[in-house]
Amino acid sequence: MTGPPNTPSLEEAMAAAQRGDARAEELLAGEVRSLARIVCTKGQVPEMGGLDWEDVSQEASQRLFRVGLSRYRGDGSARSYLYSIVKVTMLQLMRSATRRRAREQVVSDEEAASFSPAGKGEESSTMERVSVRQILGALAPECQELIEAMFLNGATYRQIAEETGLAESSVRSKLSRCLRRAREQAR
Amino acid sequence: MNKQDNPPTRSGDHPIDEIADYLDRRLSLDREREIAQHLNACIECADDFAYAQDLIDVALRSGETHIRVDRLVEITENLQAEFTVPEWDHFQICPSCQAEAANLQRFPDPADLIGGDSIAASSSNQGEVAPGPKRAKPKNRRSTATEPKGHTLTPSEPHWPQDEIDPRSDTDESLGSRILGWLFPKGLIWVGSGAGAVLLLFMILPGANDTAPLAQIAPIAITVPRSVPEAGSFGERLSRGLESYVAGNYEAAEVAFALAREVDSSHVEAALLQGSCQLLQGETDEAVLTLEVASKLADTPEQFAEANWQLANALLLTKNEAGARTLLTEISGQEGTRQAAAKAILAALDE
Repeated sequence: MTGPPNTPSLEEAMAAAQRGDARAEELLAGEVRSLARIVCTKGQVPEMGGLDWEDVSQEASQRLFRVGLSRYRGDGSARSYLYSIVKVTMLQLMRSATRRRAREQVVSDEEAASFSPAGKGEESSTMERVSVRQILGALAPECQELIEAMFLNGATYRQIAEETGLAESSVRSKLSRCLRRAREQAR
Repeated sequence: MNKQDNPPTRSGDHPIDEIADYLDRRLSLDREREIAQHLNACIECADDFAYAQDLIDVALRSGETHIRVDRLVEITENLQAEFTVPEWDHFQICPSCQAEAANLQRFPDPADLIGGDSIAASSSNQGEVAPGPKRAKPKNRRSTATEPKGHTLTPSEPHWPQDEIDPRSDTDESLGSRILGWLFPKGLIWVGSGAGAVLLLFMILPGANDTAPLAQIAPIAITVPRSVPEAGSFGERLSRGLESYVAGNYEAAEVAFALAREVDSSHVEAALLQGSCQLLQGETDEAVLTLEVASKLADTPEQFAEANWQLANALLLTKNEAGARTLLTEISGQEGTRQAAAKAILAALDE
């Protein structure tokens, strides 16, 4: 069996994609897709149940082209880099799913006290010390929720905008105002 | 002149409205550097950003948030990466993050998956998962998280993205290295998985039926081309499969061959080797289906004989003695490398 003649490696494809080469981007998207499929179908992560590899693939590609590509400096293995992006994406999606379930749970039983913003509330009671909620206690509930969502839950501006119906720019400026207010109160 | 009077920003704006993206590393590297430069010059923004970081650190310690996924990946992949003190405090008492980190260790290494390079072997981008500038080994630094009400980073105290020092990595020693030792017995996981798979195979095979012990399951002799095919192409996927196959990683090889067949569904060798992988892993039903396709696709006598040989063995494992006999009879009637073995199995079946 023989392979085709020498062609660009993944590293070269990354460099070309950084220059805006559409063909290279296509190749990278294909590689991400392959890795997502491999990891999702062959990974041994029990909590992965229900996670669709195509969702992972799509999200990972977006992450790659939105941020990851610009951060790749070409001095390491491109495949390992892409693989890391796929793993991060997968775990992020798993966390999001957990958060969603936690939110639904809270809504259904109204046991807000057991709700952890990160969606993993079981360990909260074992941790003490000052909490962010205490620190932000004097803020308007709206501000508290926004700060928690953005900094503790890892929500994006776009997600908050979609949830609240506000423009993304409004969410940005609102968060800035809330943060400044919180800091002023802390002084 | 007061730095705050004239901060060197991209457009004169303060980047406060990008703070969440910045702290979550969701910005491009260029933009991140611009903001870092701004923070180095603008006290007001540095205060805001440091305050937000402090909130996150407090939340980590109080369990109101969890260690970011990209940080967990970074730390589990890279022995040079370290937990910050707040992250470590959180990690020690957070079963969820511990479980996630353990899960990360269960993800196959790329080298195991595709016979390619390994994360462990490549250091350059390990710390950049979701990216971040390559960092030098963090310097010791006082934890800032105990002072949530005041900023702790000043313009003269560089913020992490700027000069490759992560202020969150205020550790005394390599905590990442420390936890890897006790939390992730990776070698044990893989050895255990391998042993489990072998055990499972032995449990399945004898129990399938009486013909199963007659099956001769062995890898097909192949050679791996040395060329470097185009990324994502059929050739590259096939090469990955071949490499993994030769290395005895049939799970990864199977996936690679399947992906290759997505590109070229009529490729005989990809189908044949995928079927062989399935057979070698004890996936007999899947192997039968794949090898039937390979047999139909075969366009040379050698390919046809090999596909039928593999298929016959798969059928022996699936209680289909009649089907196996038909194929073995056909193979035994033609000269070839499998002829003698086919005759031997037929003789054993007759007994």
